[in-house]
Amino acid sequence: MHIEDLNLNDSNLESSWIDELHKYFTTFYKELEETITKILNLQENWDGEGGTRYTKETLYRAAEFVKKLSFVLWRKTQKLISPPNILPGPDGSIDVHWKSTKFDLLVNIPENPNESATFASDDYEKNAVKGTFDQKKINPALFYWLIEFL
Amino acid sequence: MNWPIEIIPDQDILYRRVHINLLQFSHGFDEIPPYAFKDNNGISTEWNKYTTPEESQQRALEPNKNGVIQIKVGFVKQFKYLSVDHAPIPQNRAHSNINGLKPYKKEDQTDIRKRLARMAEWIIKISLTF
Repeated sequence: MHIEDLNLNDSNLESSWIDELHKYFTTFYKELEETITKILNLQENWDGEGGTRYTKETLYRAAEFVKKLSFVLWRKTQKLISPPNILPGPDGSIDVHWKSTKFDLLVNIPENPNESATFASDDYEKNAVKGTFDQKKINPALFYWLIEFL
Repeated sequence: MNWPIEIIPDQDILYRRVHINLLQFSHGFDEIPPYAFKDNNGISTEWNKYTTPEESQQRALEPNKNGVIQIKVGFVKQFKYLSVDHAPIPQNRAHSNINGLKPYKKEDQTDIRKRLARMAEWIIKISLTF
């Protein structure tokens, strides 16, 4: 923080916070779109082991999950989670991977929208959590687990 | 040639190729993505008793587009239902599979892929030139 930050009035504070948020979400969404395009461009056997192509629907479901989770975390804590890696997953699914010095979280969004998504996370020590969730909702266990690391 | 099937000791090492296409999605190129442990009727690997990382890389269809990671057999066997099975084929005595991932519950599969990716390390890295 700089000394001039201490002199900001409420409207300045609000506008700088909104600018910060805007910058974060704009960059975040742009990166998501770029990754989606790259994954959609993968051809059959892209991994040399018979890797299949990915559908736009699965990718946008994964992106929606990331956007929704980031937003609800911000709304609850006013803190921003770092963007995850969006990665090809097995059998047409998409992996969403957050890895920091504090925790490692892998979420898998299946190709079938009616199938449950899965997640597994740990703090590199004794604490770990895993489970499943309806792709249309955020799992509360996952949400509260992440709050600990923001 | 039909090679005999052997027991692979816990202290031995498995090599697995990782295609360059997979690396363009990670924020850090040093990171091994969990997809590297995708189960495709077993996770295909090669035993260090009968091969080297360089030979393993050369067996890829496009060697220059494949890096090689390594993982200790004992690490894999920490997971109760995973096994490491020697499965030699005539042209590759080193060929071995990590079996048993698919029967796990889906959330356990996600957890195991994440942990295996963390336990593995690069032995031949490839540089990204996209």
